[in-house]
Amino acid sequence: MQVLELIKETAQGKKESQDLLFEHVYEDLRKLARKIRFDWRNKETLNTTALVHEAYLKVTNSTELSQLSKLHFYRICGRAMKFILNDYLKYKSAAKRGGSSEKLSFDDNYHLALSDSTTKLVEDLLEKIEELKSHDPIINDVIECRFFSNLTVDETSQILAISPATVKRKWAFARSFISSDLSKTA
Amino acid sequence: MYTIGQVEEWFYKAMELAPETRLQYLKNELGHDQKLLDAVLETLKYEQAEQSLFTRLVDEMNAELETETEPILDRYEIVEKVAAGGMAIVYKAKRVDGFFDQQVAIKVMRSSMIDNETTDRFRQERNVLARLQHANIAQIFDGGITKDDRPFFVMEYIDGQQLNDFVRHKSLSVVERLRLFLKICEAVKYAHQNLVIHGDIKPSNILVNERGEIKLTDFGISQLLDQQEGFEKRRLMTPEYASPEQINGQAIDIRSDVYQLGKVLKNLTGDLASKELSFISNKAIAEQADQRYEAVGQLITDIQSFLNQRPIASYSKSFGYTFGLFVKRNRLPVGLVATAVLILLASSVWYVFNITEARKEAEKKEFMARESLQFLVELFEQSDPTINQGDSTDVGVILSAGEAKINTLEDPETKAAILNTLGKVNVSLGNFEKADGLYREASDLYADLGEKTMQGEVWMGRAILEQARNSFVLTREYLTKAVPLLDTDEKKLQAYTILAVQYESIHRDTAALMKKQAMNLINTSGSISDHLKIVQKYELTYIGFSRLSKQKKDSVIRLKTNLVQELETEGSQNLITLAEKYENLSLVYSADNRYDSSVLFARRSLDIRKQIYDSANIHLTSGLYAMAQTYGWKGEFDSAVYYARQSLKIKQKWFGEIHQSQLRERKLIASLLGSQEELKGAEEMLKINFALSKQKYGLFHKITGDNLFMLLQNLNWQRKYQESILLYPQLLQIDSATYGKSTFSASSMVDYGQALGAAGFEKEAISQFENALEIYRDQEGSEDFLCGMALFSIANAIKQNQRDKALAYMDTAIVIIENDMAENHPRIAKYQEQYARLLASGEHYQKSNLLFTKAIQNYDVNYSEKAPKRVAYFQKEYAESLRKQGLKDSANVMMQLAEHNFERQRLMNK
Repeated sequence: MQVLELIKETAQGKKESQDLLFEHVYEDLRKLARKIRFDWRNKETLNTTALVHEAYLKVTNSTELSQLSKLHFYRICGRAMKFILNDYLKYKSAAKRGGSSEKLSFDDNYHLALSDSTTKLVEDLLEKIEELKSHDPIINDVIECRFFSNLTVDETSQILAISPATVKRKWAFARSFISSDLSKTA
Repeated sequence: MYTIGQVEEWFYKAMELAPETRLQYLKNELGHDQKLLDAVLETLKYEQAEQSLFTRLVDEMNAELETETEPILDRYEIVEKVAAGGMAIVYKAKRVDGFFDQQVAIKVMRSSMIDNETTDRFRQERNVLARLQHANIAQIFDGGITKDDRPFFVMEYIDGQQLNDFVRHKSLSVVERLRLFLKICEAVKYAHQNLVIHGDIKPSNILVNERGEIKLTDFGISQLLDQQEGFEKRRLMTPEYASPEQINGQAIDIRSDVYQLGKVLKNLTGDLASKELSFISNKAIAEQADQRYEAVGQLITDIQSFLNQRPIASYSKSFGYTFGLFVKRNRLPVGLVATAVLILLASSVWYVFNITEARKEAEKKEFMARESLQFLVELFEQSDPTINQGDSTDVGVILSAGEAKINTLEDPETKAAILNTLGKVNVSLGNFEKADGLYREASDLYADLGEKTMQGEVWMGRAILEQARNSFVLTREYLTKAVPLLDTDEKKLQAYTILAVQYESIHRDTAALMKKQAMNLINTSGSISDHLKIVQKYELTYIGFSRLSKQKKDSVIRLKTNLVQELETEGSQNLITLAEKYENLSLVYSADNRYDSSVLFARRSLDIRKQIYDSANIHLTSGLYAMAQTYGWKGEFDSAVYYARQSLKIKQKWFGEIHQSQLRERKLIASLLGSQEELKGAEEMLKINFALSKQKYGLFHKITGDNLFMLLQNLNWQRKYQESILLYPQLLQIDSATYGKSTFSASSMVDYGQALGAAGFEKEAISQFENALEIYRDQEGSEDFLCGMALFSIANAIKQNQRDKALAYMDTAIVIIENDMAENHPRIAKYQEQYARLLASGEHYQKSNLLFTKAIQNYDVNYSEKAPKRVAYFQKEYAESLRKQGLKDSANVMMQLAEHNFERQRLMNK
């Protein structure tokens, strides 16, 4: 299976493989994105891992891959999910303006179908993340791991090579900052 | 102004403190910067997880899910929501137009889910259910579009629990659980017969109502065998129940459902499962689809057998990797044959699926799938393997049913595949003529289709057929045709191996060449499984073995032993092959007179079988028989008889008191008893065997003849000549029908003559001897020792009345025998002694003394160590003759020698 190879190479730090893997995952998860509304396991994360389990049982069950390689993979899946939400927002605004959605990669078969108010929340979320990212890229990494990839604190610490305490602190801050009204006043 | 960095810094500082002290602390520290203070306080407000944007997002999305409006339907009124899935919601409802007063379940698609793909899928589920009408599958009544344009369908409402809950609440016994499980299997089998693969069998999709009635539900991801394309391959599955091929995103077939049923079975029986039950579920959930039950029917059979305490019929792998070995050994328990037939039929169909898969001829595939599946289904219906215990006659019934139907098949490729399979099966059953016809038809069809590979397979099958018919020329010709057409290294390897074994007895160089080809493949090919490599290497050790020096033989035997050990360490993939190899190893060691090792390996073979089967299982018999045989060779007759009787007992339990399958056990027991001089017990066994073989093979068959021959020998040993002379005419008839005028037939005549003579019919006896002599002369020439023996028989018969004629006969005969038989053969001494006595009685002492001396010398060489009393008898005989001649001293010396030998014998017996 191609994905297994890509994951191994990504874990070895091969940039092109990471890009290919991202594209692959993006396409697959996009088809599953509708299910992002179901089966919430933890109210503070997306159910990306559940979707990934579904789409990549072979990866998650693989004995060939190290635990760390699998984490890298989940990380990429989470990032892909973030892009999917982002693209969805673009799709929605394009649709609102009466533009052609065909130009975007969301076709009718795969769109997320979120209500307007939920869409607004997603929009706020992504804006805030961008803001935090320009201040401190590590915070963005923590959010991607914790929220989009639903990794645990320890897993996040392992993959980002920072201490669990730092992950906890950064996550607490990110969560509070994102939920606050600050961006408008800052 | 402030930066995010500042907010972050103070956020952390505050977080270090207890929540109630934070405000005061921050006011003290940040009093000078109100904006920063406000920002930090604002951030801290959301420090509790429950209030974060994330949770709001989640709640909102979930709320969206919940607000799905109740559908409005024309003729139904919603009572309540009973279940919500990703794609649809199920409501309990009742019909309002008064047609029938029944609660129904209505499955309505979520409006947010409506798009081309999911709508198609939803529609498919509806079509699938409409196709299936079974007591254990939720029935569909109606369907349509709601007022708000959502597709829906109306189904039977099941007021029940999920399988696991039901089982737990009722605390059912294993037997009750299995009965439920069988019903699930029936439903799935029915679906398969209707070309539907469920794809998502798991406890939560199985509902049980209060009356214990089972319903299989949720055909939401089912596949139609006749239209596999059109849906995304990847779909929601419960990982715990997904089959490996589903996980890998490969095409699935009915064996994926078998896998899921196996999981359900495991889940149902859990800790309560016995070894045998675990075997069943493990077989169902084998990682490789081809290791599983080929169809749900087989799983059902095994569960039923288990419930009825019958042996499990699924150990079919033993005929395993090549049909050639199956045929060659031909020692497979009869019970397996029925299963083998069904599996073979099934596998040929799957093979056909694969070919077309490769070609991507979708339309054709659909047609073939339907046609061959139908064919299979009908065959299955012909014979319920749970009732027919796999007797070969039942297989015959299935086969004729199959053959009768074959012309109704339209697709030539399906037809060819099934003809080929039926050919193989008929070979295994010994129906060679029929097999030949079937193969020819298959061959023609494949030739028309231009299917090279399959033509190769058919040639290989025909070669194996000819091998079974002992037509070695044709065997080699067909194999030579097959090899270039075969497309996989595994098949080529098997062909080379058979060729090597074939040539071994007639052309050593070619055999060696074939072996080299096979070894080349083993060493260079990457596509041959390690298992097959080991097994074939083992087969190939046979080549050239008999011509090796003792030393080299030892090293080959070591190699064989190592290969078997390799098989053992390879893992328990194929325990039956391992058991068979140990059995063969046991034979090899026996032939090398190493009986302890031989017994050890036979026992290992039996132990492996015991590991797989329980104690009274029919498949233990070959292991028990091997033990009996080995102990027999070792000379431990009691143990040998014990194991042979064990094997016989199981067969009696399984097939009834007297059955054809018991021939070899009775034969072995008879010969063991015979060697212990328990002739009466042996006689009983041999009489049953004669009757059985007559019934199984007909009177005019070599095997029947052999069995009668053994019986007659036994009767003669018991001196029951009056009985044996009545049966001999039958033996002569059988011999002349099966062997013609061969030395075999002549030997029977000699035996008959001896029985006649002993019963007092001298003239009749002589005429038998003369007939035999004539055949010996024709077949072997007048200088052959057989002629000498026949002459001796005649001479013995006439010696009372025509001594001179008898002496003349013996004089001719002894020369022939001394010249033609190996030097010092003990038989020569026997005839020398007979002649010597007759000469002595005619006072021809000079010649008589010479012959006595020769005979004693011979016996001294042959029996001095093992049985000195035999030498003593001759010496005593000679001593008496010497005394009659008046040679007192010589007589005394000879008598002393005899006494000495008798004494040695007495010491040996102690």
